[in-house]
Amino acid sequence: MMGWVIFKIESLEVALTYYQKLFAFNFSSIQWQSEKEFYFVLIVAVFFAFFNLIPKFGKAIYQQIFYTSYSNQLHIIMTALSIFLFVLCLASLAGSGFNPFIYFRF
Amino acid sequence: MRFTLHILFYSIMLILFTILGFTLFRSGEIMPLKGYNEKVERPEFKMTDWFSGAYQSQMDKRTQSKFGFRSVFIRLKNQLDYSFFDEIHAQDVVEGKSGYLYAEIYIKAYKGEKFIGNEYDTIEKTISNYTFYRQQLLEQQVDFIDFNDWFLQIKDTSQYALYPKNGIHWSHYADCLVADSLLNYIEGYQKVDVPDIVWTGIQTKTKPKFRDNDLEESMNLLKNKTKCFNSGR
Repeated sequence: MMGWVIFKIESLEVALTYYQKLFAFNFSSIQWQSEKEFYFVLIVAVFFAFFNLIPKFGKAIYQQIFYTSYSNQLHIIMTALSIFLFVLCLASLAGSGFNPFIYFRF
Repeated sequence: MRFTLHILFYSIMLILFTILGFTLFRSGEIMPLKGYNEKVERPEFKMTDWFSGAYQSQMDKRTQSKFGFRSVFIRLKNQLDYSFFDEIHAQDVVEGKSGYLYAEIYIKAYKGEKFIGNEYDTIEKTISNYTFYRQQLLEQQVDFIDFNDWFLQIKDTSQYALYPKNGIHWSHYADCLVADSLLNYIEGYQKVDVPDIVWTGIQTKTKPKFRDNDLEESMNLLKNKTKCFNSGR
């Protein structure tokens, strides 16, 4: 996470300010349009960040997704899921006006 | 297994190339967005802009504003945010009780936050422009018609909605009432004959017409809200 700041920000001064803000722990200026969205994103992010730590359940999911041979049926389900998530990502990018593809700037 | 994988792979490619093809060769927009949409011009290439990053930044904005199905994706995002998080992506539009949409500026005006007043005036700050003007017009004995007051009186008995759920203005029905009343008032007051408005009948439809849906349209959703009028009024 620290490295991404230097990667993204072109000015060292701005990068230092960004680092300071990262550790300021001042949440008063953060404005979410909706509390529901905030908690939803938080729960989803926490789950995907830490689900692997849940004994048995986490490891089982991990093994299933990454190290199991998929049947045709599972391939179809996973492809459909991927397309669904891809469309959600496109919708999110189109609606936010933010482009995470920063390589285009170099 | 191999055949299935091929089918799935080509399905994904088809989706991607459809978006690309639509971006490059489209002649129109599918489900175009309502409201103000600033056109982003293609930047002129200059070496100075290239090295300062200004060209890339502008091209980035241009690409993002032109990609295929952009309006569909924006509507999808707006729809998801509205359906799951009650978020509305339209400038200053909020949803009140029973799904009624309001422009925030009118709520502030009603609450007195937009009172223009003047620096010599000592009238309480929470007064609204409407209350102030009404008071002043009465005190100065200026003739006026207060349709707001009339609508408040008849809102429970009016057969049709005076304010639509998804519009910012009076309903079209209320427009007609106002026009009719105004002409009659002028006719009686000025003792002149003015053209009458002829009501040939009232068509009731579930789909809003004219401006009765303007706030909802500005939300740019995929699917219309379920009800545009409360039953009865």
